[in-house]
Formats: sequence, structure tokens, C-alpha cells
Amino acid sequence: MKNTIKSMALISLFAALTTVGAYLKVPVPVVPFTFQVFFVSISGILLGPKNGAFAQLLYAILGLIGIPVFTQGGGISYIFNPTFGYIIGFIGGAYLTGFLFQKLKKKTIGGIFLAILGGLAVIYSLGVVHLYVIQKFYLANSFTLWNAIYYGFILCIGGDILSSYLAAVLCKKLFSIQGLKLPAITD
Amino acid sequence: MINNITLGQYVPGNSVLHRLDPRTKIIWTAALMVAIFMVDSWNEYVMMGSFTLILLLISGVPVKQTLRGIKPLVFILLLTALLNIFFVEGTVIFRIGPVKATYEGLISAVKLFLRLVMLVTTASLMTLTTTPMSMTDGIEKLLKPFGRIGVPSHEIAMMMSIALRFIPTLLEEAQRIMKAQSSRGADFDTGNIFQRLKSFIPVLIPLFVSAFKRADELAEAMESRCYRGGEGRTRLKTINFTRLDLMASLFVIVFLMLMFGYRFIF
Repeated sequence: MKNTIKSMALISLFAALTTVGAYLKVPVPVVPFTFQVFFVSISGILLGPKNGAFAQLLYAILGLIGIPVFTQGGGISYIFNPTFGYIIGFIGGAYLTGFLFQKLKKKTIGGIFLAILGGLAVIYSLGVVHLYVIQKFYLANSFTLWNAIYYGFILCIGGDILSSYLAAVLCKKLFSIQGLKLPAITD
Repeated sequence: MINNITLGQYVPGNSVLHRLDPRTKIIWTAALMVAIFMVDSWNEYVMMGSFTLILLLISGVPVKQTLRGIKPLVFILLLTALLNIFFVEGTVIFRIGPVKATYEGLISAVKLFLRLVMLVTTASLMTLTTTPMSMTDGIEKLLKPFGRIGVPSHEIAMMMSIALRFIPTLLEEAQRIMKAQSSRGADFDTGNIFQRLKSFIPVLIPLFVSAFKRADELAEAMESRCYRGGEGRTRLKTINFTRLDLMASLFVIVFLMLMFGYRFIF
């Protein structure tokens, strides 16, 4: 019982942290990016695949019932926003990252980084597919899959790869902080 | 801004829509959204459009507030309309050089626009007239039957409330940490992208540490108050399926039957 109450608290807090991630914008010229993906990866790593995915599911539900937790607000109508696919992708992304992380024999920065990239692949494939489908609905035939890949992947992957590396470095740092009880290690 | 976050898009009021059970609203909003996707002929557009308008008027929510939901979509909508008008084959209205605007394209652009406006309006009306807390209660009750196949309805609702409570706290905390680190010489706005990202480490680590601490404290507080899940829990505000809900449901059902019924008759 103790374990479930504790993990309930952690899952909720990571859903809230992902919101913080959506509000923390790094002012880079050209394509500014947020820390959402960063918190998605960390929730997978620190909470484990199942609870990490749960935290992201919670985040998606909160946004859909109208809390402005996404980068451009919230509400059910967000389903028609071209970027909603990434939010669905967060659920799978957190799961895969957590799963790969548990399979790692040595928790090195490089290994963690690869686990996160795996999750990133899930996020982006769902994101691009949703972008393609929604644009197809809007634009009929003039939007090709290549367009979707270009706007939904190539233009914005750079920042997320960097923030993934940051996530790997940060995890390693968190593991080395003395006296900090980390959920993934204690449970 | 931070204080308003947990209210979401809710606009206070006492209209019929505000007083309905959240479950009624969730179910019928979903049904209406499906119906809007099925709308095809102009007759149906007019009917569905006036129905949406009636709902909007009943709700008493300012139209401006509702249209806010469309704002992020405006750019795509315009682009779509243009592409539709100029690239759909059909009867030519006018030409600008090699590109030609067609009648069919114009029609499909208008239809698409109307459909999207109706979808967004219907969807927003639900979140505009329901507080996040009663929405959470509604979701819990709706998911309850799925408990048998392992859907933890009470836990989901509980975690939604906890997350709602902590979103403003953590946002504020993140800002406070950033200010604290700036006062110690941290620099978030200059340097190349790598330096900027790196400058966030001294913000993120304290944020995580405090989040873990909060989770610990919260779990302990819940335990010491004998929290043991949803079984036998009573609440201050209960949601009830009233006569109003029954009437509203009948109203929507009759409307949908009228609207799509004639398709089978003719």
C-alpha cells in the first residue's frame, strides 16, 4: 500500500513537472524549444516504464479537460491541433525510454542517452503520423508525407536531441547526489 | 496567470449547461462531435450550425471566449482555405496567372471551415462550462464500470486532483529557483545553444529534488490520514444525474434522430 500511495504522488508530480517543461522555453533563435521531451524522458527513467507512461497519460488528460498545460493551451479541441500527436507520443516515449533504461547493464551517460533517443523515436513517429493525418484532413491532397517529415521532424529534432543529452547528463547527476532517495532505485 | 491555471477554461455561470452533470456533458459532447464529422449536405450544415449556436446562446459564455479555441488553428485554416480554393479541380471562377480559383474549391473550403468551427465550439463549450474538479469526478464515475478490466478509475481521478494542485506550485517554484540562481550569477539568455541549455542544470536539479521531497511528504500525509483508495469514500459535493440531465439527453437524442433520421427515410 505504501508503495502505491508513493507512486501515485510521484506520477502526479511528474505530470505537473511536464507542464513546467511546457512553460520553460529556451530562447534559441530559429526554432525555440521547450523542456517537455526532457521531462518525458526523465519520467520514464525515474518512475519506470509503466508509471512514467501513466504520468504522461495524466498530462494528456489534464490538457484535454481544459487545463492549459500544453504549449498552446489546452481543451478537447487540441485534438485538432497539428502538434497533438507528440503529446500522445509522450506516453509511448516515456514507456520505451523507461523500458530501455531498465535493460541497460551499465547506467552510463551514453547508454541513458540511447535509451532516451529510443523514446524520442516513438514521440516523433506518432507526432509525424498525426501531423500527416490532420493535414490530410485539412488540405486534402496537397500535403505529402515528405512535408510532414520535413516540418514535423527535421525542423525540430535538433533541439530535442540536445535536451535529451541534457536529460542523460542530469540523470547521471541525480544518481550521484548523496542522500537523495530516487524512486527508480529505491523501488 | 499562474493562479488561473487550475481553473482551466472554466467560465463561471449558472446556465443549464453549467448545471448539467459532467457525465451528461462528456457523453453528449462526444456524440455531437461524431455527428459533426458525419455532416455532409448543406441542410445538415444549417441544422448542426443552428444547434451549435443554440447551445452557445444557452451557455451564456461570451462568444469571444469560445472563439479563443480557434486561435491556434487560424493559420492552418487560412492556408487550407487558400489551397482548397486554388488547387481543387472544377469550374474556374477567376485566374491569377497560372493559378485558378474554382467554385468546387471554394465550396469545400467553406464547408471545412464551418465544420471546424462547429467542432471547436462544441468541444470548448464542455470545458468552458465545467470546472476541472467536477470534470475529474465525472471521469471517475464514467470509468468506474471499467474497473473490472483493471482501469483504476479512482486512482486516476485522485492523481488528476493532485497534479492540478501541484501545477501552480511547481511553476512558481521553477520561477523562484531561476530567480535565485540568477541572483547568484546564472545566465540564461546569452551564449550559444549549448551554454544556454547547460545553464538550466542548476535550475532543474533543485526542481527535481524538491519534487521528490514533496511526493514523499504528500504520501506520508495521505497515509497518516488513513487514505486507502476510493472504497467507501464520501464527498462534499456529489454529482447527480437529475431530471435536467434526462431532459437534456432527450433533447440531444431527438435532435440527432431528426438530423440523421431523414437520411434513411428519403
